[in-house]
Amino acid sequence: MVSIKSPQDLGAAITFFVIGVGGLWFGQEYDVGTMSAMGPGYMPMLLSYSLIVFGIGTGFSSLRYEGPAIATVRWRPVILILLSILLFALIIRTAGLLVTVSAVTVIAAVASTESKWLETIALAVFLSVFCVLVFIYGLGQAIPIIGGD
Amino acid sequence: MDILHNLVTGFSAALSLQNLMFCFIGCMLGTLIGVLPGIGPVATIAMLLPVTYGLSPLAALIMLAGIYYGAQYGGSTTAILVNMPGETSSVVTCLDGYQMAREGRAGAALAVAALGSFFAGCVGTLVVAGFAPILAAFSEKFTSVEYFSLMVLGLLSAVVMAQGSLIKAIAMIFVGLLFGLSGTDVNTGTARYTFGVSELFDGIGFLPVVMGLFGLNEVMTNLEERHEQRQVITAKIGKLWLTMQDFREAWPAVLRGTGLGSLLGILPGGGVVLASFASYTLEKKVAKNPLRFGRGAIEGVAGPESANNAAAQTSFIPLLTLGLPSNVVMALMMGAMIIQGIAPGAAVMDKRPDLFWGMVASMWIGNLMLLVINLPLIGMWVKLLALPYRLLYPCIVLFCLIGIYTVNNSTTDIVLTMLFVAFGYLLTKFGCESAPLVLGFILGPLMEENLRRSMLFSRGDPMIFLYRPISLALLLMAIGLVLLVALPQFRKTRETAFQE
Repeated sequence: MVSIKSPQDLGAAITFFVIGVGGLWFGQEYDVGTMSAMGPGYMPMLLSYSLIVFGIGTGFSSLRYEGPAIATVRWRPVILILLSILLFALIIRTAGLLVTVSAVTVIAAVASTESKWLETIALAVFLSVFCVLVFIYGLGQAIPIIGGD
Repeated sequence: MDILHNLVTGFSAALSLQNLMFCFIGCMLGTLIGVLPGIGPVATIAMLLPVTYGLSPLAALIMLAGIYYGAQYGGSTTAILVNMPGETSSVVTCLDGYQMAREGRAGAALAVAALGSFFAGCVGTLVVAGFAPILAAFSEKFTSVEYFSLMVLGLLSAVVMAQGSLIKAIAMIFVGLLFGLSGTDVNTGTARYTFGVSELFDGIGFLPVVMGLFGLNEVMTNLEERHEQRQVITAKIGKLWLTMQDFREAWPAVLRGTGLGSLLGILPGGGVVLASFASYTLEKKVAKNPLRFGRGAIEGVAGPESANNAAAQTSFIPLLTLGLPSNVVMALMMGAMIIQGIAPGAAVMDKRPDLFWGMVASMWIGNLMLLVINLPLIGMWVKLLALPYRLLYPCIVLFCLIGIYTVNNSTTDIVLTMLFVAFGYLLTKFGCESAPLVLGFILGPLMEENLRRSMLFSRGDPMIFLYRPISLALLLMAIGLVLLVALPQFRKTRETAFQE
C-alpha cells in the first residue's frame, strides 16, 4: 500500500507530467532536425521530456518524503473571479464598456464574503463612469460605450 | 570625464517636460500601490504596460521604473503605521518600524525610511552609471554560446534565491520555456502550439501570462485567505524629523544597507526582498545589543529600507547591460522594451545613449521627487489606508482586464488570462512559484535562438559550451550555485532567513 506523504508535491508532479506529455503529443508533427541544424521541434521535445522526468522524479519523492497538505479550496472567490473574467470576454464586444464594467464589478464583488450590496452598486456605478472617462475619453481606446461595434 | 558627459546627456533627456511628468506619475503611482497592501508593482506595471504603447520609449521606461522604486518608498509607510507590509520588501520594516510608531516615534521611523531610501537611491543610481558600462563592454565579446550559458546562469540563480523546493522551481522554468516557444517559429515558419487559434500565431501574449499568474491570481488568493482587521494607527505621527541620537544610530545602518542592497540587486535573482531581509539580519549581527531589535530599534528600519531601495536601482543593471531580467519586474521592463522595438542589452547604451542615460538620470530625479511626495504628504497616504480591500479588488480586476483587452482588442487574450489565473491557482495550491515560469517564458525564444546558433556554429557539438572559457565559467557558477543550495547547511540558513 502506497501512501502519499506530500500531497502538494504529488499535485506538482502530475502538473509537470501532464504538461510534458501534452508538449510531446501536440508537438509530434514538428520537425526535430539534428543537433547541428535544430528544427522547430527540437526544443519542445527536449523540454517536454525534461518535464516528464521532473514529473516522475517529484512524484516518487512525494511518496517518500513528508510535505505540506494542499490548502482547502474556497470555491466562492475562485469560481466568481474566474466567472467575472469570462463574463468580460463574452460581453465586451456586444454590450460596450459601461454595461460590461458594471456587470463584472458586481460579479467580482460577490466573490468576497465581506461585500455589501449598496456599496457594490455604488462601486459599479462609479467604476463604469470612471472607466469610460479614463479609457475612452482619456486614453482614446476604441471600445464602444454602449452596444457593439 | 566620460561618465560626466554621459550624465549630462541623460539629464538633458530626462529633464524634458514630458519625461519629468511621466517620472512624477510613475513615482506617485508607485507610492500609491506601495502604500496599499494587496497590490504590488508587478500587477501595476502590467496594468500600465498598454498605456505606455503610445509613449516614447524613454517616457515609458521612466514611468515604469518610477513605479518600481516608488513602491519601495510607499511600502514602508504601511509597514510602520499599520504593522502590515505594503510590499513584500517591507516585511522586515514592520518588526521595528511599528514598534517605533507605538512608542510615538512614527515620525522618526518614517523620516529615517524616506531619508535612507533617498540616500540609497542616489548611491544606487551612481552604481548603475558606473558599473553598467563596464559590464556592457565585457559582454561585447559574447557570442550566442556565452549568451546561452549566461541565461542558464541567470535562470538558475533566480531559482536559488526563490523560496521553496529547488526541483519544483527548476521544473517551473522548463514550463515557462515551453510556453514561451508557442507561436510561429522564426526560422521555419512552423506554427507551434497554436491549436489553430490565429491569435496564438504571435505566441502567447506576455500580459495574459503575467496578469493571470500575478495580478489577478493575487486577488483570488487574497480573497481566500484574508479576513482583515486593519488597525490604522490613531496615535500621533509626531515630528517628521530625527533627533541627534536617532541620526547617530541610523547613519551607519543606512550605509551598510545601501552597500548590501546595491550588491544584492546586481546579482541575477537578487532583488528587493532578499536585500531587505539580508540587511535586517546584518544589522542584528553587528549591533552591540541585539535584544533591542523588534522593540523599536531605528537601525532595523534604516538598514532594510535603504537596502531595498538600493537594490531596486541596481537590479536594472543585468537587464540594461546583458538583456537578462533578474526578477519578474525586470521581465516586465524587458517586455516593455521589446514592445517599443528595443532589444535590451549592451547595444542600447551604444545606439541609444539618451535612452540608457536618460533612464539613469530619471532615477535620481525620481528619488528626489519621492522624498517630496512621501514626507510632507504622509497624511494623505495614511487616509488611503482606510480604503477597504473589498472596494479595492474589483478595481484591480477591471483595470487588469481592460488593460489586456485594449492591447489587441482581443477577447482570446481575456480567455487566455482566465486560463492562466486558474493555472496559477493550481500552482499556488501545489506549492510551486510562478516567478521562475515568467522568467523562463520571456527567455524561452531567446534561449532557443542562441542554442540553435551555437549548435550550427559548432556543427552539433554541445561541448562548445565547455570549450569557451567565459561560457565555461558561467556554467560552473551556475552549477556551483545549485550545489550550494543542495548543501544541507546552506539550506537551513536559507529557510530560517525566509522564516524570520
